[in-house]
Amino acid sequence: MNIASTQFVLFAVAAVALYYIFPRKFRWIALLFANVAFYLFAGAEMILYVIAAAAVAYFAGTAMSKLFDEQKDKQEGLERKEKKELKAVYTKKRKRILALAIVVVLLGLAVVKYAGFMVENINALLGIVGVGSLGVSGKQVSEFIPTVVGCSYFTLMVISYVTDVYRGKVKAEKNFIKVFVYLSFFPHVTMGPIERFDHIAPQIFEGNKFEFSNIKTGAMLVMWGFFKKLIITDRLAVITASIFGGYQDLNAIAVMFGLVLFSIQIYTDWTTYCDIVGGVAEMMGMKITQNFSQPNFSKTMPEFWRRWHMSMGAFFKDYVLYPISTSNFCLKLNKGSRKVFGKTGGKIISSALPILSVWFLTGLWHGASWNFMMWGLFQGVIIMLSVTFSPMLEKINTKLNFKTETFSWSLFRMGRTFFLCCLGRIFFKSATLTDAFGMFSRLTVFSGKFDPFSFGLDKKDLFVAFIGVIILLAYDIFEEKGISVRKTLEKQPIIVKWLALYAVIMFMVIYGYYGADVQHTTFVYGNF
Amino acid sequence: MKKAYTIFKNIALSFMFFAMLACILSYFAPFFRFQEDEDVTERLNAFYNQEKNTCDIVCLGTSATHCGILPLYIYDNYDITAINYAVSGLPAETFEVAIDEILKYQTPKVICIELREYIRYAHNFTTDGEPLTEKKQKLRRQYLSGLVNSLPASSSINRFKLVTEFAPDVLEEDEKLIDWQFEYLKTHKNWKDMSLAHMYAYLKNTLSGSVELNGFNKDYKIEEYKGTSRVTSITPNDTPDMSKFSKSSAIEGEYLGVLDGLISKAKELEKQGINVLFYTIPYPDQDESDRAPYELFVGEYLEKNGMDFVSGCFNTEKIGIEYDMDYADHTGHNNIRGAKKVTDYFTKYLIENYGLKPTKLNKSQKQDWDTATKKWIKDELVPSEEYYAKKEAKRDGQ
Repeated sequence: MNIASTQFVLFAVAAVALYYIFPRKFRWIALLFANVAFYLFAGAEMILYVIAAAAVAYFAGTAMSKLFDEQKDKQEGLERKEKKELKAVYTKKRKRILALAIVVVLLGLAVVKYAGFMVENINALLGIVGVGSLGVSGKQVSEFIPTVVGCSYFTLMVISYVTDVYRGKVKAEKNFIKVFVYLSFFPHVTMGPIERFDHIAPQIFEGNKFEFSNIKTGAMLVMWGFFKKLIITDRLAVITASIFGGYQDLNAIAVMFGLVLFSIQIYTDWTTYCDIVGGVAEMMGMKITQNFSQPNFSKTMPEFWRRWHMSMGAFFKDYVLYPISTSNFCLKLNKGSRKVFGKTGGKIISSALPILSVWFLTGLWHGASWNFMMWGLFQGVIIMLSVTFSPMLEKINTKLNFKTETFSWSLFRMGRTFFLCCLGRIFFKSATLTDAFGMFSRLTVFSGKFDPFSFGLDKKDLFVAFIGVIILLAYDIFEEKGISVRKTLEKQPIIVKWLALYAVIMFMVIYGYYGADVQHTTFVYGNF
Repeated sequence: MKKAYTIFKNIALSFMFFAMLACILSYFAPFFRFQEDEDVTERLNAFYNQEKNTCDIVCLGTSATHCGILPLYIYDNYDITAINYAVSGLPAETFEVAIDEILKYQTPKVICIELREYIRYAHNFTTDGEPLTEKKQKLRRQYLSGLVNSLPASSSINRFKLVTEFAPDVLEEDEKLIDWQFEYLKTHKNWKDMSLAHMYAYLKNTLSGSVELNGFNKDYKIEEYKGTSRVTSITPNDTPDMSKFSKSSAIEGEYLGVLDGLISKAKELEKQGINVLFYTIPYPDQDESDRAPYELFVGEYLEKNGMDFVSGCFNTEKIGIEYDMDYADHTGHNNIRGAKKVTDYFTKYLIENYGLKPTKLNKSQKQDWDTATKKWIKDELVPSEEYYAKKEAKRDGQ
């Protein structure tokens, strides 16, 4: 079921109604029914995968919880040294369970998502070596294995849950059904955000009181999501598909035009999803993790990644970057490299491993393709350069007396960051590495004409998309300044509120990119 | 108490919000219709723009009625106001809803219901009839679409009924019912062809009290003529031999149910004091074997059920139809020459059988009808009569 569809809207309305029909204490059971129904729409076999993932999380969590209790019991009356030894023993046991759980879910993800890719690359390798092939192609393998909607997202949620239990940050949930409900919560199951158990579980299981204001503001958020999809995303998708599909004959301006539009498209595409599911959750009195914080206003790449897909960034920071950078190996590497290369050199080398590892894995997580891995490495290198050279650049700015507090300087930095993001998206959007490098090469071609209306959208459609982007920009500026547009609108007199809402709705109805002959795009991040 | 009040207030406000939204959407919906089928819309606009409750005769039917019954001719010769609710190929199954639509705007003394389309498809819908060809399916779809897309915003409920009941049978492969129900899905992209002038005209007409324009309404003359036909061309047809048909072919089952439905509707109308006449306009290919026997059956069945029926097809001599001069094409559309005869015949029948008297109009209404009539006579009737005179002279000279 496409999230940006009337089907989902009707489903969500029914789910919200069902939620409030149940007594407050049992509202999470209503969510259970809604989640199951949601998955059954996608295909009955999908739900088996979620149940299996929930089972891994549950049993691992319960087992580690038992070990905690055992440790606590045995600790009583022991000396400090003995307590420390006991803790080490139990930590080791819990670590084994944690590792096993992570391996199992990652194996599941590998089979479902990467089997085809792995077979393809093994065949390529065998071909190079001259041994032949596995006898089956990657494509055949991919077609054989069913697609499991949201597997990339709830796999990470399983990992975050079991790791938090391991760290003692979260108490293991003793009810398997609740673990299942947490993982399969329909607003976040397809494309995230990657919710932490301690953040969302109390909201899901304690039951939320009916507040009409939640219904109103939630509905407004859903509407805003649809506005972006209908006015901006699906229009820009026509142009970007044309440009990325036929870049070979385009010059640098056309390619850059496509990259800028794709950057806007992917932003509106992603935030549409987040707004719709966020709005639905809000109608049930829940606040899901914020995933975007006006990332296009970022002045540096590290800042960009703190504002874009925030739940993923937080996951990789807490569960990949932190464990790697505090590992014994990394600490030794840091010490050793400082001795050899000095403080600065040592810092660069020792931070390279965790940063590049995180970004390699981030790229890998995005898709079973070398493109995404290159994209990840590209991001990692840019961030490394940013982290490495930022102090030096600050010194230069100070020495040259640059007025770095000015709006123009901020605008320059935002433009620079946006440009770097656009470059990275060449790998992200291109079908193959060959296409990606081909596109890069077109950025050096300045001959030839550029006609923005030759990519499938006429002047009027492009103008409407432009107006949509201006409205979006205004909205984001307000949000950046801490002014919630929805809450501000909610406080207005009823006639002002209704006029504004009717204007937005009529704008969508009249100018929306929909109808029998319009191809709607699926969410880009839904492919992950 | 306070809680109950808050709940009630929230429900009421929510309901009002969506109700007002539905009204706004409904009001603007016809505005986006791009009228590919100009004839259909302008004919219906003639009906909808006619002042309410001023017409004594309403003829419901297809293009045969539009061409064959001349409202301004009736007014000119009999001082009786008439108007057609005639849409190309309108399937008879939709007539009950069309009658509801008519009664929203007019309180006639007589409603005449043309059964040509009903009889035309009878062969396909009888037990051993042939299934509809793809071409016929496409045509039925087009005809229903023509009506649905021409109804004004104020007819939303009847439009909903029409689409819900009849559109499922004519949907194309990739089409969904919602594409018909929520017409914005099909028509909203016409915003690209809109201009400020259109918007202004739309608002102006609505505010002035006349029925809102349907779509990009150009300045069609047919509205000025209250839907009276301007068709003048001549296409010679062969004279059908109706004498070979004496035995009727029965219509059964579900399709007969359509006629039963119309009969029930007619009886309801009669209880309200509205007379009902079923009729057919004579058409050149009426001697096709799959039609005339069904027309005979229809006549017998209506008579059995106490309904009035006048068969144009079996009374062509009384009407005075000349097949070589009275038609504009081969598909049964009269030109003005033929339409005058048909109109005269049926109007006289109505006067004799239902005691119709000249319509009482107030000063402004009379002026409206007089102006339209004079204009039609001057611009259409007189030139056509001159044209026919020449053609007759040529024919007779031969």
